[in-house]
Amino acid sequence: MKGLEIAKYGVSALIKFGADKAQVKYIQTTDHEMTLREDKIDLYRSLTDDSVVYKAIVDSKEGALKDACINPEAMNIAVQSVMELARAGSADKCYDIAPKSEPKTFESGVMVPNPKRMHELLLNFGNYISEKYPSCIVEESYLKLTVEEEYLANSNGVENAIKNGFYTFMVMFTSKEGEKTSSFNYSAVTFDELEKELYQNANIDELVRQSTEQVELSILEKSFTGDVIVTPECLSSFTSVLCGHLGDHALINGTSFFKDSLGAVELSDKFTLNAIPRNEEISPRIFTDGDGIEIQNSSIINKGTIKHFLLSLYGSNKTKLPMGANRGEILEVEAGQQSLDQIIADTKEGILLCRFSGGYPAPNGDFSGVAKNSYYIKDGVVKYPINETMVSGNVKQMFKNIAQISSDRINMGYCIYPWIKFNGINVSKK
Amino acid sequence: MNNLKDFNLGQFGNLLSGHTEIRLQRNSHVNIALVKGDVMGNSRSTNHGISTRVQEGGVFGFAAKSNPTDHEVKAVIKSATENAKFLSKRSGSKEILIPAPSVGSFSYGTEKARLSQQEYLDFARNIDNYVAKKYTGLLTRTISISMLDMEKKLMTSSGSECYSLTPRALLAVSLTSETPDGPVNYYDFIGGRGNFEDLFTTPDKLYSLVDEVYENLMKKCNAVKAETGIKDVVLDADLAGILAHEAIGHTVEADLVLGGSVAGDNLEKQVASELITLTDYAHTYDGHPCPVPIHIDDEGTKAEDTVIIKNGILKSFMHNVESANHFDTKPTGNARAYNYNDEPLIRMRNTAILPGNSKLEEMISSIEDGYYLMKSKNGQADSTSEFMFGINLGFEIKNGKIGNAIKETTIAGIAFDVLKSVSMVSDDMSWTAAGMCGKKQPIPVGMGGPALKCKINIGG
Repeated sequence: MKGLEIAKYGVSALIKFGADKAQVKYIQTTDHEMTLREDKIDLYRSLTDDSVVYKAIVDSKEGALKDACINPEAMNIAVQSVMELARAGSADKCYDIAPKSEPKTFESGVMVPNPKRMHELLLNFGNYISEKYPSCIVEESYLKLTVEEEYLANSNGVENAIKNGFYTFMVMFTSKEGEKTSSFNYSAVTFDELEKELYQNANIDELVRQSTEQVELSILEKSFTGDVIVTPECLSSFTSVLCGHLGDHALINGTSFFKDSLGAVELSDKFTLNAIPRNEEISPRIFTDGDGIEIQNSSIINKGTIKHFLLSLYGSNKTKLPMGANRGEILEVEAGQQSLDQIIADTKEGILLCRFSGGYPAPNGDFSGVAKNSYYIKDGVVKYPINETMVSGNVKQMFKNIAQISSDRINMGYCIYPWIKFNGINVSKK
Repeated sequence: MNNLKDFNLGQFGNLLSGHTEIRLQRNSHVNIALVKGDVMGNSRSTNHGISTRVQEGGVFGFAAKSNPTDHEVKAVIKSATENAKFLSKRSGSKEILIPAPSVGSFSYGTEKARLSQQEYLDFARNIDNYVAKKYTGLLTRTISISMLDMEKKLMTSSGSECYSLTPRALLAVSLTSETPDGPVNYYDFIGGRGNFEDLFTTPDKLYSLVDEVYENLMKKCNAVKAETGIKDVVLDADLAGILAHEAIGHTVEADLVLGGSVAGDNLEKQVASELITLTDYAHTYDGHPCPVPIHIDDEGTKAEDTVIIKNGILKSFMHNVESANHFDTKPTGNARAYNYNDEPLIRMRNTAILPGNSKLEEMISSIEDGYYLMKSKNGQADSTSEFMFGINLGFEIKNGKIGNAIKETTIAGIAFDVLKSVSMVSDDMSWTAAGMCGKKQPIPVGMGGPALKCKINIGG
């Protein structure tokens, strides 16, 4: 058996063994990955993984199981285990599977690895860094092609077949001069084609350049409450908190700070957060959610107004709130009006926050953490890289107090973000 | 692949060339979550398969396949060999010397009959009912059970053979209350190395944990903001363990040392108070198994304790065979992989600061204005040895006495500075076994320590 046959076999077996509703997802993932450490490519991995994810609902009780076996005998054993799990559960009429829809087939990206080209690009990257930035050490970087085939079937007749292939490039680096060391930094990008040199993707070249000047760090003269310009690479540390408060866990729990906010203006009217899972310029494109429901692009937060939640089918049933067009996959923040240079020039006192290392925020959105790879700004000029500096505030308040959003944006493949200046953040020196 | 322990890897011996590792592995997970009494998690999952890593000319080819047939195992070996050749033609150099082989079988699994999912769920329901009846004013409650059994069988062409089964089971209680400032949450774990059946007997024995979580939640609901800046603190044992892991442990992993970690310049130098001795234990501490006992690592190296700091002097890094070759030293078994299709990376095992001679009460009473920090959330390290971790539970110390709870905050510092500021080390030792370390892959780790009095930067 292969592909959709496996998923459909699993569904019919679950129904045969007594499930009222059944869903089976078969995923085959192949990876080809090369790793560069310092200046040597020393690891080449080829991986193939099969996963079969079963979900059964019986008497409104749900159980789920994931396994690697795709032959009928082993699948029958797995099915019986799923039924045992389901029968042990508690009845909840909110459990469900996707409603019937037309069979869907999607294909996107690159499917065949090109190891010679991968090796060439990775080696070029290592050579470029060591020639242009000799004080920078590439601790690890890898270039990987992932090809994922996903087949989902359910007992309502849903049949989806999705094939996605995309490259991921990740680099982690530190700069060192004598005994002086910068903080490490890292960047990851995704893309479909091996066209560009790797350092030309996103903002990687600039991040490495910044690293070389971050071996000389200074402690702030004083703590202050002021402006924090969050870079595109750092922004997901905070947008992920917003999305968490729009998702299943926080809304079901009642801890979401957006729980009564559908349609309400809760954040700065400068801020628009869109989900763009189907756009051409992102990689990989996402077509369906975990239940096999087709998703579309949408505006999640439009000029500060909460347009929709990011609830799953279960979450929507549980909270009686509407599902949105997607679950918040692949995000972009719409560009603003000023260039980054103008935003910096407009900053009387603040910091450029390039990486945030902090504890998970509290349920009410309070956060604190260390400003890594970051800079002090005074009177419109970036002054020096900073050391042992902490930032704290509240995520929701932060997004209410947006001062400026840059017209420049960085496309990392899985998100497209500008620089955002927030007012009123606490910046503490050691 | 049902019976991993008896699977004959030797049948593929004639296919091996150069230095080769073959690893058969199965990770089995059980996840249960009750949220306000609703079963929101009721699942099991298994990742299993085989991988092969081949060394040629100092570079590695690696291949893996889930649940393979014998034919597919041969294809995996061939693919790894071809990958190694592809790289060595382009960037090969000196062969990496492999240490002497080790052989053994190590199982920490239960000998009791395994419970059913129904029984695990009923255990969680019992605890949830206790919370629901006793503490009626909560905004939400979550009771979760998670189990991970890691089962591995390794064979190397140099003669190492190892079977290991290392289970872990955790039960977590998470309670949330509404306050005028928004929801406040507190959670705690119990459990560690071993199967559920060996760690837990009856649910009523955990009611006192629930009560403690609730009491601490109530204290947090009336918490005050911590002052930012450098403060005198007592780090409780759990936090000393995470300090050992984040602040020091990562900086002395040899791959980070080669990547520029500041620890690389400090071997044989004073990096901490002479009260501090810090060791990465392989499998046994004080005659008892550690939270994550490793006897032979995933490269076939015999696992031995690594003394990292002795009386304040930095003595050693942690290695795999490649970095041990580079530094001309011997590896002591720090190479581990999480999933069957992950390559072994340098990982900590059971990292702990050793106990001293002081009493916790004396340490607290010695502080006029500071904090007693008890429980952490996540943490992160850095090449500069600046670490951070989130604080989930802490209290003011005023005039030597415990005061108000503090709101959640983050602490940070330069590890060597913080460890040099240690002025008292308690005489007790506590291990946490709930930790998962993230690097390229997650991996279970153990962290341990006594309480420490030191100076640390608090984020507010």
